[in-house]
Amino acid sequence: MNIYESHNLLKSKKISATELTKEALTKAETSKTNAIITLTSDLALRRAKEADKEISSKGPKGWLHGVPFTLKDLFITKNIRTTAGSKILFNYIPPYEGYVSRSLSDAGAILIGKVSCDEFGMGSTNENTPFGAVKNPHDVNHVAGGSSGGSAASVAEGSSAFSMGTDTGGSIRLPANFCGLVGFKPTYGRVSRYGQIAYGSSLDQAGPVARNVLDVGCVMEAITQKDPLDVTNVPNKTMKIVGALEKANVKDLKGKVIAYSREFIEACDNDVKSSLYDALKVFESSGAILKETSFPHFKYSVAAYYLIATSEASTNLARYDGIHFGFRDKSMKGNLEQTYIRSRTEGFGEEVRKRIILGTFSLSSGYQDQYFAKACKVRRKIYQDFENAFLEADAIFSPVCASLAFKQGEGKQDPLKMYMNDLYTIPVNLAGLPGLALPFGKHGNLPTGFQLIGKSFQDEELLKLGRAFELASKA
Amino acid sequence: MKELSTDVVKHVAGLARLEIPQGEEATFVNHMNKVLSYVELLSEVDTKDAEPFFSPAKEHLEYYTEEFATHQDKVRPSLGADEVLKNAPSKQQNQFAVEAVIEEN
Repeated sequence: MNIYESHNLLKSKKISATELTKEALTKAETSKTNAIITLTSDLALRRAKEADKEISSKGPKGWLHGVPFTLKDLFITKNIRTTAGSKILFNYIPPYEGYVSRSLSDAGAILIGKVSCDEFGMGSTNENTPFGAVKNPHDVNHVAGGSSGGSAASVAEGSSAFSMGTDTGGSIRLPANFCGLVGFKPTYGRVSRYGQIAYGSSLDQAGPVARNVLDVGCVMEAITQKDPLDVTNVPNKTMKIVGALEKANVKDLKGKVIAYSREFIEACDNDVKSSLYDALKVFESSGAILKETSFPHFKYSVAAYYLIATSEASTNLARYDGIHFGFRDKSMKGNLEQTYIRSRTEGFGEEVRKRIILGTFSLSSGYQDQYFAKACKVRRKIYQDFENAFLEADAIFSPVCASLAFKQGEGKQDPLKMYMNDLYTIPVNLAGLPGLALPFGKHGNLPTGFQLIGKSFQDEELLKLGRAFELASKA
Repeated sequence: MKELSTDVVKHVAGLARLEIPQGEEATFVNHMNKVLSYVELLSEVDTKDAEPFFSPAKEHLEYYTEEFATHQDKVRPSLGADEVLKNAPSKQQNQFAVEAVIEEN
């Protein structure tokens, strides 16, 4: 089930939204991946019935009308439990509606459920959550990737046509890559962050996980309206892209300059490496011009990221105090200070606590220049590496991850080594650029793929290039 | 740099209103020191002429209009007390209830 085909079937009345929804719910109920935290069956069936009524009288109002989807549980949904994959928000039922949920519901899409993620988006395996690890639908002994693992697993197993994830250091692109899907992190500012539970505010960006680039376009059109409730959201940049994607052609790749670093590809595991070289061959044989480029500061990106992201997290997560909403430890009668401390210590998982402490240290008096400020200056250098590459290139080709989907439990042993897995996705967030993870090939049961990075606010160009590659790889 | 001691890590945790559970001290201190020793890597980079990069939004001001960036001082509907208190772990008479901060004599 993909969006574009479902839309056409709905339009020609060959299928109903209720049928699509029932099929998705059945898949969700019999799922072996543990992707879903909260299933919204009753609501979904009710909305599907409404959609069928509207579609039968006026036809679908847009690409997503009547199409089932899931939302990462970091998106605020009014009156529907929103946990951020954390014990601290275990019973939190938001009294307001976030931008992404509202815009998709306005577009007529049918919410099947809220899906799992690493707690507050902190992780790359979707194992860092009290709701249990999410498994890879292609091989349940492996992780789905994180942090938007529930999003990727729910799309790959067919319990949704698409899902919305969030990406702070690769959290959309990595699970999409591990599950054989397309994952898109738009340019910072393209999608409003209002009602997206914050991790690193200068890095966070919402985007879709879907089956192909055309479907990504269908979602982007619905979620790029201007939203005055997020001041970093760019106004007047509502995407109109599906028409262009429908017209996309293999010939569009001719003459396009694709920059890449051989060093990055060589650093990958053999199974990943061969797939990356094969993908480059597809570009080349379609007339694209490959250009070896170096990115001298990318090797600093993980270090800069872990200082910046944790610093921002330490301030963003200060709001969880056990008083206004969320978990409260009630053992410390008569002691407010201890109530804060116990509630936060009990409510947050280990990885979240580690990151808050690191971020607090990085911002603390006497250390700020050495850590946070230094990281922000290195961030400038990384941004300049991209600027230099884009002087001569239309897009940058890179791995998403050096390895195939990890085995369950593998990451627990060495957290720092786990952080390194984000080496190729992190620079994109640091610079705020659009990044598109595309599936290409398989090794055994496990999917492989790569990433294309575009220029700031040229998300449309990047998606067209991605679509042309999809067509070329099938030709 | 010098390794952080358990006391420093506990102090920083306290600043963030967190406690390091007994038995986990070694894991936390070890993790902090591992990460801090790794980020020492940044000192290799010559950043004398580099302006700190804080947010991508600041790099692309051309996309933001003044009207949009400056909110109008307009009253919008806000949540009612019932809704705001709905998720409070403890409430009394339409207010958040907290532990006493002033001790009785």
